[in-house]
Amino acid sequence: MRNRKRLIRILLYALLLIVFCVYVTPIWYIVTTSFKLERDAYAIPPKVFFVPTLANYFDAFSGRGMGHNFFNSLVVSSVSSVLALLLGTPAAYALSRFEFKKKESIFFWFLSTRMAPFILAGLPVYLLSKQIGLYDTRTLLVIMDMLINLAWVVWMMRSFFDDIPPDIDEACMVDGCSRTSALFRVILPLATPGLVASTIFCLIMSWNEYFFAMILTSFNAQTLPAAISSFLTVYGLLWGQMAAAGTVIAIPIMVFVFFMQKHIIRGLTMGAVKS
Amino acid sequence: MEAEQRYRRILRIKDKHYVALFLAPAIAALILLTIYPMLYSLKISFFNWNLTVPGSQNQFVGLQNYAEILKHGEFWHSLWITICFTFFSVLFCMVIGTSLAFLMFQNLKGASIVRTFVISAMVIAPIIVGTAWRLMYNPGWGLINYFLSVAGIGGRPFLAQASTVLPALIVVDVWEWSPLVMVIVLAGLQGLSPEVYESARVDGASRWQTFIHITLPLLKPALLLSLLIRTMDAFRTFDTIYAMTGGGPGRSSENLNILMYNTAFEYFQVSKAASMALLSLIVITVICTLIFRVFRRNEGEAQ
Repeated sequence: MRNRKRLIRILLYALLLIVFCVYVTPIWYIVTTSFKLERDAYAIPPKVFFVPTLANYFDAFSGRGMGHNFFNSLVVSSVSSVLALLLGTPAAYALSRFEFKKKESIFFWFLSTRMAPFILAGLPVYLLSKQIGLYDTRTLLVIMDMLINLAWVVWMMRSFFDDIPPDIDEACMVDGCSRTSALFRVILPLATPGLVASTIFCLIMSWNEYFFAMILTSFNAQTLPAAISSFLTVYGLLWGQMAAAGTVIAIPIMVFVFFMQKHIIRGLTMGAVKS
Repeated sequence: MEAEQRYRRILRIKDKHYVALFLAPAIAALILLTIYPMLYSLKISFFNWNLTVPGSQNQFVGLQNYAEILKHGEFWHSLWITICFTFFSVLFCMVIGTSLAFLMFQNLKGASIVRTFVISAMVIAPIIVGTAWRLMYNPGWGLINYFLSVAGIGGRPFLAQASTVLPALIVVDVWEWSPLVMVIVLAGLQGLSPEVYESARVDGASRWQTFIHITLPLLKPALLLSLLIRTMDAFRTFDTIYAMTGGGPGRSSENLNILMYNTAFEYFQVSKAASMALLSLIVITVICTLIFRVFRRNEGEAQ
């Protein structure tokens, strides 16, 4: 019996090791490719030890102006996240605290933005933006990313608010403060973990967003992920630079995961554990 | 007591103003960015707008776009590919993700580090995931074909063959999104109380019985949520497929999203693309409603 338990334990550890390898390999592969010279990258068998070079990064950033894309990515993801939180948090609070007609339909409406094919919103916005001159501006991308994030914010923040007993708001209001100040002074500080989780989520989603960035920009407002597609088509063979760009996009997110894992998990699972 | 109740009633009346105040901005954004584009799509779907033909946006054709789409094979072909992709990807994601959750639940040393890397797969930009796997699948110097040749199995250009491209893409999607199922199910597992298991053990239930009759039913909300999210997302996969194959070879990995993108931005037939988008919205709505209904009905029986 003890032997069998031990065997199961060993098998579980072997399984864990396999899972680790399966998940680390692609990430390791793209990161190392970005530091390899072309002859090392194409070597068979793959070189584990090689002389690292920054040539790909240099080419991508100074040669192809990826610094500009990096700046766009930073601006678009931070501004759109702030906007999504500003619009989504009060809405989530209203959905959590108040009773009104069609409440659940409104909630479902927010979630349904996750269901619609991208092109359903993307195509009309593309056509209209060309007419009104918003095409290829950061403003337009900020608005679109905010829309994508709004559903997440409303969904997550609602479950966080649901966890705070409504008695607290009411006690605060009996003491003479208004709804707004109850929300901002008392409830929001209590929901800080939720705000952190939602912020992280918004940042990740808009940092990674590709489809709208690709169809709604051409140069001025092009973000990092959209810049990747120029390697994919015209310069389809520049694997090293592509890997460098990919690494630059992935590393901030990886750092986020390492330090904020708890918040990310909590944000994802708030609705799951209860509903 | 009565005074307090009266006070609460007054609060509730006052709240009506706050509902509007708090919800209005978000709803305004939602109308502007979902309802309006949807109506716009509906409108242009009745015309014969081709971006390369000037004046074609005023050519009213009624339902001709829809008739053509339903008559020609490409929409049905892409729908079939989307459904196959979604079905197998979601199936494997659910099975593997749930297994991963149970593995992580075993209190193994080092599991938290492994979990961190597993989670990073789903937060790295999908376009980068696609790029990384395209590197790995490369027939000349990619890692996968190298491993296969070491194992003595002949490698092949997985992404360039019609017979292997879809399974190869499904592998990537499962790799990328099983972590989501894992995270949700793991949270569900951690929320279960140990007492339930103990009473089951006292009653003499085997491990397998406990799993089937106790754990799975209790995990149902978590499983339903991940099933719904995964189905919606798999149905509209774009980034990874676009990065790896662009819908090729031929049309063999052209799912609905790639087809609509190509129709609108490669062939500039925006009216046709809009009609396709509306049709595909109907399909995914029906699928999600069905999943929801089936689960709700089972829940009713269980109670």
